[in-house]
Amino acid sequence: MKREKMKKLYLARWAVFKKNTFGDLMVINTTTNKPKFVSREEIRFLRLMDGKTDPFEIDSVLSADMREDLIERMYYHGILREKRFAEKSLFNCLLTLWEPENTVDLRVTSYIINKLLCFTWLPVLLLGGFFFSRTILLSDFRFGAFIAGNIFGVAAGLFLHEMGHMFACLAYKGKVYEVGVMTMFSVIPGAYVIMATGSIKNRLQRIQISAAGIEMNFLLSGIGLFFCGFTDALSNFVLGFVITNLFIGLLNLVFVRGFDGTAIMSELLGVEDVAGKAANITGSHLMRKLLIKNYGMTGRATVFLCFVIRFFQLALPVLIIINISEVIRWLT
Amino acid sequence: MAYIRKKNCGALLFLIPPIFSVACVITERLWLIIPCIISLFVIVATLPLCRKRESLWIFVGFVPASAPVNFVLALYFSLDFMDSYSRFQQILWFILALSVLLSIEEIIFGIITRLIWKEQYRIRL
Repeated sequence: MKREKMKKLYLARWAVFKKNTFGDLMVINTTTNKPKFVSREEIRFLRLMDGKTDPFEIDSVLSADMREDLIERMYYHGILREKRFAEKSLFNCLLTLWEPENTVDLRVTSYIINKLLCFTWLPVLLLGGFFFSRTILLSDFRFGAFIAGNIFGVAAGLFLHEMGHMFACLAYKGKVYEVGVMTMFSVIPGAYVIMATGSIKNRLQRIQISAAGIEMNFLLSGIGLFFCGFTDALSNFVLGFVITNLFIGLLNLVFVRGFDGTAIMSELLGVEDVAGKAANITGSHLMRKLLIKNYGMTGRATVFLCFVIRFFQLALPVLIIINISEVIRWLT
Repeated sequence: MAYIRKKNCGALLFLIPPIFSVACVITERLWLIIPCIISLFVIVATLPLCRKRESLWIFVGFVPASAPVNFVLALYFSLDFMDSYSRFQQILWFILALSVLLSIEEIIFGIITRLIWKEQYRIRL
């Protein structure tokens, strides 16, 4: 890492310093719950990283090589970050838009919005569908307006999806560190929210946090379905918006690694990162044998569960191929 | 030998929900889904094998139980709704529809399971 870049790094809000029961000092990335052991001097040094001071001019007993190594390690583990970018690599770029302060006013507002979201997404979606089915069908299909609706649906849908997670997390007294937009593989746009739900003990609340984004997409679809019926002029645009949000909502329910469905299933089964662990077990004959030997029928059921979850991972490449084929179909 | 036979009998009960599901598809009587679901919950609630691991067994039992109905629904979606697409694209839509349907059902019944049986052992993965 270049020294110019190191000058701009500062300690992330989600980095917490703790001492374990053996007296060892650690810095924990609370978004991943992964601790890294550090010394007292390294903690002092990290606290002084503010994104403005040259880390090699900070008064510390650490040598230049030790500082460089520490900064690279901590940057790799997400403890140090750049000013505007939570992450910046070849594959992902996360641009910070808002770092909310976890104030009482914001929590109360989030609580109200989350409750409204919880109780209205399904009735609004069903009523919207009912109204849409009762209105006159679109007389002429305007491709340009439909595509514009799709693009707006992706932008608004993804951003509001993450805001849904944010409101739910704040409502249940979790910590939200930042909200922003991102690109995956430098091309695919998206949004993100960095939050920590470890302090929330209630399983159903954690499930609702994961589901809040999907609820928001379905709510947006339901609202859009009302407008499809009332305003014929904008109906192609709104239809594109509705279809995109329905898609985002439904696809996020699938148990693909990284989607909300997997987070929900992880909570329901009581296993962290169920997709990752399922991949390990399906890939290792020895692990499967050990599970069956140690746990009998329950072990067999667990192995079957892992294979089912692996099947679900097919949905992502299938989705990508469908998207590509759709684009080719529309272009030709 | 008698103990092993007794143990396997419990697991054989998991064949009952898929039988209801197949009957639902063959006879085209939607109401057969209800005894399919109820039988699965009754089996999980009564078998000692499933005690304290109800979420795991509901998840595992639900896959074969819902497979016939989900298969037919996904096939209907990919062949009838997507009839203007090529065969290859219809197969892709079939896989996607099957994944979405199964995911939604697993989540709904997973939540119901957790509401009924709050205290469960951790799954060893």
